This record gives sequence, structure tokens and C-alpha cells, in this order.
Amino acid sequence: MAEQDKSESKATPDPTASKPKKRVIPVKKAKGKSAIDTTEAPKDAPVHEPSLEEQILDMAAEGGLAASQDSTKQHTDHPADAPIHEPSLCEETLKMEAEGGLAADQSVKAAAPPAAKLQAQASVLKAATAAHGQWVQLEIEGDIATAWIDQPGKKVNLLSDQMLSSLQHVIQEVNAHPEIKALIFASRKADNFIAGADLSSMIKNGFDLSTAVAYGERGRLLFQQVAELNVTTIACIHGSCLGGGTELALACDYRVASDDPRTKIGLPEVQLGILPAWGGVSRLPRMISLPDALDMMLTGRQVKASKARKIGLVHLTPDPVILMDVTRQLAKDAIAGEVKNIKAIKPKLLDKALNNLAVGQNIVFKQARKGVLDKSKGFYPAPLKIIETVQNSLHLPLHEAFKLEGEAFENLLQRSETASLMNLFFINQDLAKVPELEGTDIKGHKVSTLGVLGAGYMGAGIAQVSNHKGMNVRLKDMNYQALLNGMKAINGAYSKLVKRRRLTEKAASDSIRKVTTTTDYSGFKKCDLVIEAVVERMDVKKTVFSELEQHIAEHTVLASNTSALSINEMAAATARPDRFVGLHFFGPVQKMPLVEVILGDKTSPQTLATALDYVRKIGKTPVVIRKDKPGFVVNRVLSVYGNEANLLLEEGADITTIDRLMTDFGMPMGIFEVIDLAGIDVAHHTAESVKPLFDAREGFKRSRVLERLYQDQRFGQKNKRGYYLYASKEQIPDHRYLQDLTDELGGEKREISSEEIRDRLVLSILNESALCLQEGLVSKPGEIDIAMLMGTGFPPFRGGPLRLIDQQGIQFIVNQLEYYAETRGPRFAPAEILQQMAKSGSKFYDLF
Amino acid sequence: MKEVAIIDGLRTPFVKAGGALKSFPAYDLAARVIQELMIRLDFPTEIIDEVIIGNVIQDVEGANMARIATVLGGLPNHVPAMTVNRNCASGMEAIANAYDKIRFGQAKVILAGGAESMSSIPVFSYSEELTEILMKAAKAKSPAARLQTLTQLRPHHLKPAVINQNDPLANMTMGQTAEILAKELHISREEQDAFSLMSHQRAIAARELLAAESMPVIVPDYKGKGIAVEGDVGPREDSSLEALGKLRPVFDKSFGTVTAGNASPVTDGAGMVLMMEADLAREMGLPILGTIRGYASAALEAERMGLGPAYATPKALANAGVQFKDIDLIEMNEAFAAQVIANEICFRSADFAKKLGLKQAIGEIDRSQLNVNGGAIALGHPLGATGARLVLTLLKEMQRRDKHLGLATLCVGGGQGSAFVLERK
Repeated sequence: MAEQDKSESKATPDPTASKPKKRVIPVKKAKGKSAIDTTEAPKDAPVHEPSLEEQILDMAAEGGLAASQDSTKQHTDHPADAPIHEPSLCEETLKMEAEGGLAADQSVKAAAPPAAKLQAQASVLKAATAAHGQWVQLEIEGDIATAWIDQPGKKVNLLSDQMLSSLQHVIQEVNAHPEIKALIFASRKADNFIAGADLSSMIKNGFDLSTAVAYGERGRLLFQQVAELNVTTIACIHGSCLGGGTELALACDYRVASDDPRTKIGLPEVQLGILPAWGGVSRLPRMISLPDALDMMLTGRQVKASKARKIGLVHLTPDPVILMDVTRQLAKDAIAGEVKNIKAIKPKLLDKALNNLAVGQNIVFKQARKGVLDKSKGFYPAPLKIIETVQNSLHLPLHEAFKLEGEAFENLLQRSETASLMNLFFINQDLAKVPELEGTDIKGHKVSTLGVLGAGYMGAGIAQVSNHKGMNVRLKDMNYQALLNGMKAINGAYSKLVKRRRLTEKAASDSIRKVTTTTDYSGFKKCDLVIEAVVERMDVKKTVFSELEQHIAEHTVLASNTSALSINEMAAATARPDRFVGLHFFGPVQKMPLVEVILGDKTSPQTLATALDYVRKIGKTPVVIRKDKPGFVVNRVLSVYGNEANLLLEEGADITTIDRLMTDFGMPMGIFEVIDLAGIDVAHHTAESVKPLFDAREGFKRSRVLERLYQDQRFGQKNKRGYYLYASKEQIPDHRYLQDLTDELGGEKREISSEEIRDRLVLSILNESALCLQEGLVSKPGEIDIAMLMGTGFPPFRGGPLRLIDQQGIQFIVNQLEYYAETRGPRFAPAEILQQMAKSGSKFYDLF
Repeated sequence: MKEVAIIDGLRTPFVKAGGALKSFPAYDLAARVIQELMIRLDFPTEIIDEVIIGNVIQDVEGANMARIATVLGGLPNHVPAMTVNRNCASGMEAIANAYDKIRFGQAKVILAGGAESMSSIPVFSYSEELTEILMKAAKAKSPAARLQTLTQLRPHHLKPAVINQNDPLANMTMGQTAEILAKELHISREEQDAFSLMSHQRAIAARELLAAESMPVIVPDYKGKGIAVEGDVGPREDSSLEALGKLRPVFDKSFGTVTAGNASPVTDGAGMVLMMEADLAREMGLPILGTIRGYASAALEAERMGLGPAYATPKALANAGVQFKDIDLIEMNEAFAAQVIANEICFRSADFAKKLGLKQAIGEIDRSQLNVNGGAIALGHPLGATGARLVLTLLKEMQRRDKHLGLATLCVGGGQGSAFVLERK
């Protein structure tokens, strides 16, 4: 390890270092302690240093420690193996905090700034030195320097151009002060070390490949300079440490991570379609075991401190309260050349073989490749590229490995999948900006207590997910037997979490305790939000709301989880249409990340804000639907897609071909599998509710297949008969039944080409998505794409229906639609918006 | 001195030990009641000064169960809590404590009550030898020494010891104390069974009234099964003199009259009441369920502990400054039918009064005013919780009947009695 090479530089400790130091460090004071904020200390710079302890003490004093621990539980709950769609890379991507692997440096336009060029920038850096002091504050105490990373005005640190320059400056300062023998990187942020690169700086002037590649190069060189520093370097990590942050830590000699649930270390680049290109791909497999390194990079999984210690990623994991003390002591010990308390990780024999023997390594790579192909079906290039790059570079000298890393990075940046994933990242960031609230100071009312009416499948799911995120829940149903069933479902969801070790049994039971049940409206006064999830009948819902209204507080927001009924009609039945909103969840609630937030005509911005805060707090993604039209977005587009699939059946296509073609397209399941899973009755109900919408369209052809299945009581998986038959664990297409059915329905049967099947299905999704945008259901294309990705499992690597239209070319899509409109019916008539955009040559997204 | 009001209260259904509530420690039962009571009242929990809970058989794994119940019940962390024990009067003792604290101005708002998980009472323990060897092995300095210690184990060490449930003072079970009273006061088996039948019939008739003071408890387990306990499970619709008459005496097989049918069943449950300085309640606009006029505890020989009410009541009446004849309703705990009847006898006995130094008998108990909604023989007697239930049930019935004064009293193992005089204005 690097620290051994530098032992000579640590042999003579700074004489001033032996003096006991006071903790409070006045800025710019001589005698061994100085705060080199470069020229001038910023006025608001903290006067004393270890803010972490104080923050924690402060929190504890305010009784806030428990609360913040609660909030960390959220991180442990990763939705896994959703039946309807995989925990797609997209979801993970979208959940990431601003993170990535690149950002455009406006000042460095050259393709690859060599070290000399970086040196040449020094003068620039000197000039901009006051700014650096705000971003990274270098404090020197004796022979130990601490670089406090603190991006102004943000909750997390991001490695933007400015931040990289500031870090560059730190390196120069350390080099310029030979008395410094150790350098600690630490963060001033509450629960964040570094959240990764700042992607947004990359797209100020649109995406540009050479800029992005140059930025990758710059970070890699910078971190190599950190690695080559002639002093002991230590990364002192508390909170999330992601992407570039992890790569900076990897470039250090030591990593100390607080043993705290909030501390998570990860390399999530793969989720954006790229790879850790700031030295991560090269360094990580050289530092920890090959399987562990691949696992981290291929999944983007974030590891806790204890796990990081176990796999050798970090050296020490002290309690957060003593994190800085332990880090300093380590620095002192390293300077003295006697690091004592770090125990080497003893690899198991098998690990040794897998790590060091060529045969073993080959097994690992083969396994990894197989795993990636199984999971991603080969749709995603980044994981395969990571494996390839590691395999090719593992035995090369580091500087040559970096070359391959850079090449792989450049290669991935040119893939459309990467562009789609990055586009999604920006869409998601942009989603936070809701036009109705933008530029106002309207704040939502925090939902501490949630009321849920109806303890059925959806009600119990909503209750459980909300309770899991720390809310009190008052659950009401007609009788205690129904409530018992709801509580069983809630307990069942928790016991899964306990089984998967996402939660301790005590934490689960402490949480469930906050779900209370009632058959009357007692306790609803305390509710900030009440969500109705009773039977889908307008008269019942109206009655329920008018009863409920007598028992709630002035500020209580009412919400309906209807998937089809009119929000305006329900709202009008209450005396508070301004505090009424639609919250359309998808089942199973635990796994589906989307909530459609439907605005009624009178829904107030304040109510919208409350709803959005709530949806985000429970870890779901809200998409605001601005028109109270049947089916909102997801069910409407799915209905058209399902209708087209059924029409294809009627025309003679068979269900296995239809389903397979769409999974080949990237959908997690075929449409008939989805309908069987959701239930034919549910699908039929949805189809009925969107019927008026389609009936109003000239020449829209409705298939009668679904209706017939419903009449024949083939309800899908729930009664083992739908489009498929379900015998034990097998799913068998019921060709004979469908053949008879479609024969009976009449019409011409013919051989349909795969191309036509896929075209018609995909085009019906694309065209209906465009229509939703055209009709103003949403405010921007990104909302449609996110809704479709999260609500239907539309493949993330395709970026969403509208992004797919962009990518294929709007004119091309219009041409195709026109062709099918002519040959297969006017329902394919291209949406007005598409025709206009094709004419003007515009796109939905400008970035990529 | 401040006037002390009881605002409202709530309890779990009472469920026979080993039944649906068996997995709930006492603190958990209490926590659920606290949480639900606060939700139903929409009460500002931050103004609660203290929580006091009576609990008899205290759990090794839940020391000071009141504090655990307080936090788990969702009350703010700053609310202190203590657990009190006066055996079967523990729930009442908690209310007495709260009453004193509020009337002397040491607190304004207190949640008081009781809880007992009789399902959790251990029946067996390790033998002394086994305990000793295991302790020694745990302390051994080396694996070899540990092994050596463990080799001392013999098969007979594994035989569990039965935990002695006798009252240590009287060296007998509670049932045997009831047998003493039955014999000395010539209380027949028929009288006892008839009283028990009445308890069941009244509890059945009062099902809805009792439901108003209790909260359903949903008990889902982690295996997807579960039960919703919506009411007390003890009261039997099919109870009859004939059926009761068939039961064999438990405590004196040859000459006894106390059976499982005329004794209170071993039960799990919890109950809490919200107590406040009456002026504060008025200020907050909270309706007052009742106020406390006075209370007392008394003691006697452990062998006749069942007579506790007869000892405690005159003291409580004196403290409250009221006459027995002014009492409109009585809740007297039915530990055993024989014991309640024995108290009826003593209440009307001039001789007994003389023994207590009273000028005249306490008074004749009118059964139409006694335990009008049934008692512990039907509902069960979760030791620590009963005192709180008596107060709550009594006040709710006084409210329904619009009565002025009520007496709640019970006998206490170890030879004590407690009594409360409650008032509605």
C-alpha cells in the first residue's frame, strides 16, 4: 500500500505537532495551526472544526436523533423482484441522488488535459482562490491537514467543475507546505461525504462527447494526483459516499467510515449507463476481492460501513461521534509509522483462488457475465463493458488500466442506451420542478398522520408503505374482520422485510404499532391526509367522503385512490374541493414506484404541495396529471396497448408471439401476462372506464376479447384461468379457448408478420403517449416517460415512449403511423402534436 | 387541595390467559390502550405529566413496564412513568397515586391504570442445581474449565421446579383463602354458583355497554394468521346452575365449595384512565366523567384476604366524608363468589363493625346496585388491571344511570383491601 512508500516523509514529525492542541481553531492563526483558506477565510466559515460531533449532540439534545435514525431505515428498503416489472435499472437510477460520472468543465475544452496543462492552470486557481476556500476549506493543525468539503448552498457535495478545481487547489497547497504529513478529506455536510459528480454542469450547452470525455480524464488525473501525494491521505466518510466520492476515497491511502446506517458507499455509475471512470474501475478490483468489486460496480449497490469493512473497502468503522478523533489518531499513527489498530482482512482460500489465479478469475468473469445477461437480457451495455474493461485491465500497470477505463467510458457515452438513461436522470431531476409551485413559496403540510379508508389490497399497501416511512396510520374499515385482513397484509409485508434483513423484528413491530384500526371515524381529526381506497363505486365514495368530512381537521387533505372515477365529481360532493386530490397508486404498492397525482379543477396549489411531499416521503415518484380524464395516463395508454394486442388476437396472431415480441422489445412481461396478473376483472373495469374516451374517437376499433374473458369468468391468475392457464407454477397459453373465442367473434384471420405485431403494439403506445401530452394531461414530455417507465415497466434503456419517438425520428414514426392508419384503421392516425413536430423538425428532448 | 377529575378511560378486552393476548407482555397491552385512548380523545399528549401503571407479576424482561408502555404507546419521550404494585389493587393504587399527585399540585395530567399478562407468569423454573451449574459454567475462565463444570450435570438436574404460587404469608393459594371464608361464614356451594351465574348473565346482557369501555385488539402474527379480539371472552351465554354445579372443587377436593366456575379466571388485560386537575379539564373544555371523593387501603390477616373490601370501605367512606347509604352503585371485584358473599355478610354485620371499632354495621349491599354489568367471575381478573377496570366501569355506569356516588373496592392477596369513592356532579 501507498503509505509504506512514504514512510520517510513521516519520519520527522513537525515539532509543533507534539504540543497538545486545542480543538477550537481560529482561522488564520500561526503557530502550527493555520487555516489556509487560500487568501481569505470566508466570513461564514465555521470557526471551530469538528462539526460532526456537535451536530450529533445537537440532534440528540433536540430529541432528533431517533427521528433521523428512522429516516435512515428508508434506505434499507430497496424494492426487489417486482412481479410486474423488475427493479429496473431505471428505478435505481432515478432514486440516486444527483450523481454520475461526468460533468462538463467549461474551462477545460481540450480533449485530454495532461498534467502539465493542469499545472498551468495554477495561476487561474490562485486567482479564484477565495472561492476555493468556500468549497473546500483546508485546515492545518500541526502536520495534519484536513480538507473540509462543503459545497455552498447545497445539502450534498457534488464534484462539479468548481469542486474539482478546489480539490486541485488543495493538492497544490499540500505540495506547497512540506510540513504537512497527512491529509484528511472530510465533509461538512450533515449526512453526506460526496454524492458523486455533478451531471448538470455537463449539459449547460447540451451534451457534447469531447467535453464529457475530457471531464472524465480530468477527474481521473486529479484523483491520481491525490494517490501520488507524498503524504498519508485519509478519506473520512460519514453519510452517502457515491460515484466520484467513492473514487476519491479509493485514491486515498486509508478510508475511515462511520458505523452509521446513513453511511453508504457505492458506485452507481452503471445505472446511468456508464462506468466509474475516475479510476474506480481500475482501483477497486485491485483493492478488494474481484467478486466484491464486480458486484459493487455491476449493481451499483451501496454498502454499509460494516460491510465495507468486511470486504476491505474501508479500514476503520468507528461510531460517528468519534469519527474525526479516530481519523486524526490514524493520521498521527501513520505519520509516526505505527498504524496499530487496523486488522488485515484475511481472505478465504477460495477467494484467494478466485482473485489471484487466472483460472479463478475467468470463472468470476464468466459468472458475472452470465449474471448480467440473465438480469438485463443484454439490453444494457454498461455492465458488460465494465466486466470487459476489468478483465482486460486487471493485469496492466495502473496508468495503462486508466487508458482502457477512459476508452470504455468514451465508448459507453456514445450508446443510445446511455443517452436514454442519462436523459431519464435529467427528466427525473426536472420532475421536481412542478409548474404550479415553481417560483412560489407554497409549502405542503407535513403528513405525520395518515388516514386510510378501506383495509383491502390497496388500502393496506398504502398504509404499510406510509407507516414504514415513519407515519402514524389510522386505518378504517367496516368491521374488524376486514381490518384484521388488512393488518395481516401489513404484517406480511413487514415480515418479508424482516426476512430479507432489511429491518429488525423490533423495528418492524415498533413501526406496526403506529398503525391503529377503527370502524368509526375516531382519530381522523389528527390526520393530515386521508386516502380513500374503498370499492370503485362513485355513490359509495361520495357517501364515504361526506361522512368523513364531519370528523377531520380544517387542514386535512382528502385523496381518492381511484383508478378511473372522476376526481372532480368526488371533490364536488365535499365542501372542500380545494383540499381534494387524486392519488392513484399501483399495486402491489410496496413495489410499484409511481403515483399519479390527479388535480381536480379546484385543487389548491397548497394541496398539491402536500400531496407531492407525501408521495416523495414514502419513496414514490409523483407524476402530476392535470386533466381529470378517464384512465389518467398509465391505464389509458395500457388500455390502448391491450386493445391493440386483443385486436391482433382477433386477426389471428397468437398470444405467445405477441407476449414474446414485447419482452424482446424490453417490456418486463407480455401484455397478456400483465392482464392475467392484474386480473381480467380489474382490466375489464379499467377498459370500461376509459371506453367513453375511445368511443368519442372516430373509427376507433375496440376488441371484444377482454369482455368475453370477463364474461367467461376467466379472471386470470386469481382463478387460474385467463389468457393463460395456471397449473401449479406453470403458465400455459390456452390456444384452444382463444381460437374458439376469436372464431366466434368472426372477422378475417390471417398470418401476421412479427414486424407488424411489434409495430402496431409499440406504435399504439407511442401515439397514445403523445396524445396524452397533446391533451395537456401533463406539463412536459418527461412526465409521460416517467409515468410509463414506472407504471408499466416500459424499458428504461429506451428512455420512455417519447424519448423513443425522438430517437427513432418523429417523421419516421409519423410515417409508420400513417401507413398503419391507412392499412389497419384510423385509430393509428398520428397525434396532431407528432405531425406538427415532424413538420417543424422539433424534438421532445433537446439534450441528447 | 385540587379537585381531581377522571376524563375518560379505555381497556383491552379481557381474554383468558393462554388466549389471543398471550404474546403481549403487560407493557404492550398498556401501550396499546394508551395509544388508542389518546387517539380517540385527540388529546395533546405533550401535557401529560406522568404515567403510573399497576402491575403485579412484573416481567424479568420488562422492568418498570410503565415507562416502556409510555414510550411504545406513543407518548412523548419527556413523560416520566412508574410502575406500582399493591398486588390485586395495583391498578387502583396507580389511580390513588395520581389522585394524590394532582390534588397536592405536583401534577396536572396523569395517565393511570393497570396491566397484567397472566399468560406470561412462569409455571416452571430450572432446578436449583441446574441454575448453579450453568452459572458456574458461564463464569468459567477456559473452555476446559467450562466443560469440567458441565460434566457435573446429571439427568435429574433437568427436572424443572414448579414455581410456588402460594401467598408467602399465608402459605396457601388464593383459592384456599376463599375456602376459609366459605367455611367460616357458612357460604354454600349453591349460593356461590348462583352468584356466578348472575355475573355471567349480567356480563352477557351488558356486552354492548362493556364494549364501550374497551378497544378491539387485532392480533396478526407473522404467518398471515391472526385474530381480531373484539370483546371480553369470559362471559358465557350457556352458563347455568346445572353446568356450574357439575364442576369439582379445586382447592379442597373433599369438603370444598370453590370451583373454577365460581372463581375468576386467570386473564390478560390492561386498562387506563386519564386523570386531570378538574379546573384544567374545564379550561380545556373536556367533559368530566367523574371525580374522586376519597380512597383508602386497609390490611388484615393474609388467610382472610378476601374480606379486604369490608376493611377498606369504611376507611374510604370516612376519607370521602360520605355514608354508605348514599352510595348509588358498587363495583366489588369478584375474585371468588364466596369472597364477595363473605363481604356482603360482613358489611351488614354489627359484630364485624364492632371489630373494626365502628358504631354500626357498614350497611346492607343491594345486589341490584352491585356489579350491575357482571364482574370478574365472568370477565376475568387480570391482577394489575382490575382496579382500573372497576373505576372505569363504575364511572361509565354512573354516567349512564346519572348517579351521584359510587364505590369501587377489591380484595388483595397478602391480606389487604382497597376502596375508592367516586362522584359525579
